[in-house]
Amino acid sequence: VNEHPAPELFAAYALHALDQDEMREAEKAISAHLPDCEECRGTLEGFLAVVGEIALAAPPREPPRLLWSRIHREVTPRPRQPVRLWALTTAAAVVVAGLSLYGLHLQNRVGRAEDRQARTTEVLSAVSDPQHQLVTLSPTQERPGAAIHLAATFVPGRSGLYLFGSMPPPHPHRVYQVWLMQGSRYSSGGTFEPERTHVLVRIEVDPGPYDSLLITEEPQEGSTTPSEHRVVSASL
Amino acid sequence: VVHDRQEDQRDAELHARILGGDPRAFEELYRRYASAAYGLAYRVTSHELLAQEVAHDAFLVLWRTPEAFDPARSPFRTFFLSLVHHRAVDTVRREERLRRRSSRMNLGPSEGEDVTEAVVEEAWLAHRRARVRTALEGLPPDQRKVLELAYFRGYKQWQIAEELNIPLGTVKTRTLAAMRKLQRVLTERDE
Repeated sequence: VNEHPAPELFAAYALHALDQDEMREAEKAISAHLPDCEECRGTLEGFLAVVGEIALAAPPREPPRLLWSRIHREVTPRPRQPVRLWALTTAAAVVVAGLSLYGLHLQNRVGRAEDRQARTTEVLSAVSDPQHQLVTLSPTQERPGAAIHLAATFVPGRSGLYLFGSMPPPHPHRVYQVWLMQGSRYSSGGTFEPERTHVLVRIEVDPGPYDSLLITEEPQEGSTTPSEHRVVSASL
Repeated sequence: VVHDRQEDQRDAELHARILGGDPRAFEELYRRYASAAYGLAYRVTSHELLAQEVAHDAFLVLWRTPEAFDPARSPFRTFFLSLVHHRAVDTVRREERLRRRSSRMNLGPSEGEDVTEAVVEEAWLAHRRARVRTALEGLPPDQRKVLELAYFRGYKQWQIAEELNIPLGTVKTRTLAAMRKLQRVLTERDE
């Protein structure tokens, strides 16, 4: 058995109170020494147990109900959504490899108030992240002056892109469709309709590979390629 | 003590079911620990949204990698709340501006603040909580201060030395003394 590390190191390690260099030193000492030293193993495990107990000194606090709503949604397998999530036809679809889109989870179709709250919290959480990106979507030349105020936000490296703001309903029997563009290639993010004029939409995608976002108006069943009815766009 | 062990056993059973992918077991563990986890995360971050993120991420880690917990090594409670604590500390360290904000708040764990009345918490956990608080209150003030800065504010030891204007070696000594005393007191009460 090599020399025992100082017990102060174990105490600070258990408390997560070391800086990176010290942490590396501690982990090195622990991995080299502890397997052969029952005494030091016992010391560290005892301190880790104490640290777990100190947690209880913090006053308990009832979490918002939407916290469970968010967690529950992620631990429950998502049912396939036949509505609006059209099958990609092999003839026409141009799909960016590796893209995994669940389609849009629409505020007005999710229906439950808690889910709406949860999504709102997710947006707030995203924009409170120091790394977040926020882009404004501008009306295209086809829709100059339209009363559209939409923004998109995401945190680089993290899955999920949120669209929020307001826009008028699409024309009768039409829906809005989101497209993620990478050069001349595109991939659909799904279709949506505003609730009255409000939009709060999550797209399960890592925006990293894409350079722009486009929203078009399409037939109710959605399209496999973007039509000329372009509504708003933004560079990511 | 017997009651504590029964509850630890219950946690272990629920964890075993989570290993098998049982969402109901996960929901029950959430109910048992959500207020403790969220309370701890809030205490460290002083920020509701960040606390939600910390609790959210910790529970998802539990669901996605339940094998990270080894029931042979510790009770589930200490494992899970340590997980929450580590994530909360990492979060607050990223948010220096939050540190400045929290430094204006009294983060002592037990002085003049107790919101447990507003929280529906299982009796055994509340009982355990009271014992931990009593143990902390039994520490000499200088040791308790060092421990609180490390645990509830996420300070590293050199930062504690700067904050209290004491040598780093003194921080290490006080930390070790505090940890040993807490271990002794909590172990004695468990026996």
